[in-house]
Amino acid sequence: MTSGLRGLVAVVSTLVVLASVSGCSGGGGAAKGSGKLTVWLTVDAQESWPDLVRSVNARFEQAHPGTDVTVEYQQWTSKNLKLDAALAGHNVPDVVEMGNSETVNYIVNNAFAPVDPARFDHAGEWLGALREPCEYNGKVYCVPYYVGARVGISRTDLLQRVGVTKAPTTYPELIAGLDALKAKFGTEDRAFSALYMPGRYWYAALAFVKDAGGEIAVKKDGRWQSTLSGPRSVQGLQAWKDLIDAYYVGDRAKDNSDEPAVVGQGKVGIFYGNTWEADAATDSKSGGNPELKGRFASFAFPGPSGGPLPPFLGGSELAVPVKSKKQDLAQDWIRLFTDRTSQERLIKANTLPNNTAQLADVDADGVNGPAAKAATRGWVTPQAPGWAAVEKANILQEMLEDIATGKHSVKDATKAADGRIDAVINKN
Amino acid sequence: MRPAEPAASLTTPPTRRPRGRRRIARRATPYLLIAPTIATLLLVLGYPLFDMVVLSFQDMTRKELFAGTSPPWAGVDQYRVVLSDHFFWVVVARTVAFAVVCAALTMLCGLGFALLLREVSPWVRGVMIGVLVAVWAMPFMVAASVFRWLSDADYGVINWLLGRFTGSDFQGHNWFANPWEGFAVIVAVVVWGAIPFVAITLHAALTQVPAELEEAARVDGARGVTLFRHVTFPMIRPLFVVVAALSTIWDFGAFSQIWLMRGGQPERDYYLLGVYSFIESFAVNRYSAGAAIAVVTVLLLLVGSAVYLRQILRTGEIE
Repeated sequence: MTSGLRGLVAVVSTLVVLASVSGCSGGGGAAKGSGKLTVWLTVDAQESWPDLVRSVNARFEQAHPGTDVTVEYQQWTSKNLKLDAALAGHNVPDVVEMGNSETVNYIVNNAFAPVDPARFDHAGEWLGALREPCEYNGKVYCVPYYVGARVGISRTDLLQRVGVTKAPTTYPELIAGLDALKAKFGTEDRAFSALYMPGRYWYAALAFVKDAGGEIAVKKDGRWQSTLSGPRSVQGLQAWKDLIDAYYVGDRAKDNSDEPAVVGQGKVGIFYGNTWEADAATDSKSGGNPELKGRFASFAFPGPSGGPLPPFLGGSELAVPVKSKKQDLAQDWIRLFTDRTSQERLIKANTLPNNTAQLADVDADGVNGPAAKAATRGWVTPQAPGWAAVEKANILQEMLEDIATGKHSVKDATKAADGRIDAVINKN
Repeated sequence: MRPAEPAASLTTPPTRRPRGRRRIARRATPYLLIAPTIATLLLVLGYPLFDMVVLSFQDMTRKELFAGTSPPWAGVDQYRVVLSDHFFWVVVARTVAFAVVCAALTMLCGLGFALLLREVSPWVRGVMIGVLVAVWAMPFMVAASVFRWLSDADYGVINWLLGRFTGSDFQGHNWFANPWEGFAVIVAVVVWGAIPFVAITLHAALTQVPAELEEAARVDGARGVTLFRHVTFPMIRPLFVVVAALSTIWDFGAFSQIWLMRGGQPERDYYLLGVYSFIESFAVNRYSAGAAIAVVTVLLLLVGSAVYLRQILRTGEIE
């Protein structure tokens, strides 16, 4: 072998060592000085109500001179991984925003400090969907922040062109509207979906389970058990699948994360989503199309059972990690951030408040009116210690994808999911 | 190692007196030079590896994680559970097949490019190397996203092109619904990203093959494939084996491409060992089971590394 080649082998070998050494580095922790309060909020606050954050910080710093508030914005997808890493160490945030389906596991594992509900406005009227995930063994471990309910959102201009002038209030009316949309626009353009319903959209699919009187999981003798393959659950999922088969032509293996951008393409008649998604679909920043402005209206999505489809109440809570050294200050910041004035500001940003008293303040004719009405009968995910694992292991998404694509029947897919859910739902 | 030099020693002036000390210094030098590397390796690889092995014999839950207490010992329980799970062996087989297919395709295409680079005119070679380097420079985060968009069911250009050229309807065809097709896309992005390194390395090796050797073979009547098989390839074989072993090891640990292509929510059909270990650890929070899977992965990788190490050692021997 020539000496040049030997050198090359050496170089290559060295490269490998270097490559393996330069693996990955961890994310930055929450830097903290003496008079610093670190708050982790998700990007929703940064995008939709940054002025509220600013004004609350100003009020807080006035009340507690010498304490600076640092707000660090987190992505939903990576927040909990970062939080776990932070909680395992000592440098923890003082306040952290949690989804209402994420809290139970952390509370059961002693991650959060109890809070005193008496300190907070409207604590007696907190929405059940936000209060329940905070309660454990008679104590309260987090504070409701805001909630969102999904509704039907339609392209009024398209509906008008097929002769539908008022929002559907019953399931047959909805089906008739979808049929009309499909007959007119579906034949003109094969990429047009009368209803946008991607297969992994589990918040939508499980609403049909609830509508049929089914449950995701029930607690029996102190243990949680998945009941997706129960007759009512299966009936609900079958109704959902029938809608997909009839009115959705897009990719069935997708979830709803890019819904506004897809709807903004103009090839969707009706979709099921959060009210802010109607605005996002006309906002070029979120991939929407500004030309569609003013052509969307929201309505309470009717379910096959006859009533409105019970919406999943996705919301956020604010918690104080037990390792925080400024728990009292942290609670005070949360008090300001969730008080009456702050909630009013959230209502203005088209979000639903954390309590039933102020739910009445939401304009019934506004875009969020149907959502406020639906919120009183919404549902939340099972309050089981292992529920977060069910979500993160994509068990529901995979089950729904298998159903939507026709890979498995509703019965087989739900049976398999039940087995996988039972394996993790009771674990801390 | 160094040739004996009796003639030279005669002429050496007697100034090389303080022999002992020098010799010690000279012997210590290599160790001193490699010490920082060894220390770094121990710190950033050795310690986590040790910690992971320990973790796999414990039963760590979030309670211990958050409280900072040490988890209870579980003996070989984690391994028993993991190894007796049929799904685990499916994932192992899938990972091995994936790594072998990716590495084989990478080496084949890389070698093809390297040979092509020898034949083309200098400016074409310049352009080709430029493109290869650009491909190599692209972060796989970006590459995976681009491939994902290309193969998008509703808006992907691949479906559009296929529809155009084959005349059949590919609108809305989901490449990831069928895992075979899905893995074809994933293999494509992995191989695409790995070709530049292999091509440029093998090209460098080929430039070291003495022209006289091939010329002589040509005079003897060797042509084309025969010439390559019996003259050229044996010359670059040691490097080829090293790079092939490396590619296999890299592809064995593939994670990001699958994670990104499946939008951070891979289906069980798409689990490779890395993904499986990550999901067990950080989604289901079975940290110790995840560690056990990772340890098994490392052991399997050691088998691959053996080939690599043997070649490295052999390379030294031949000289």
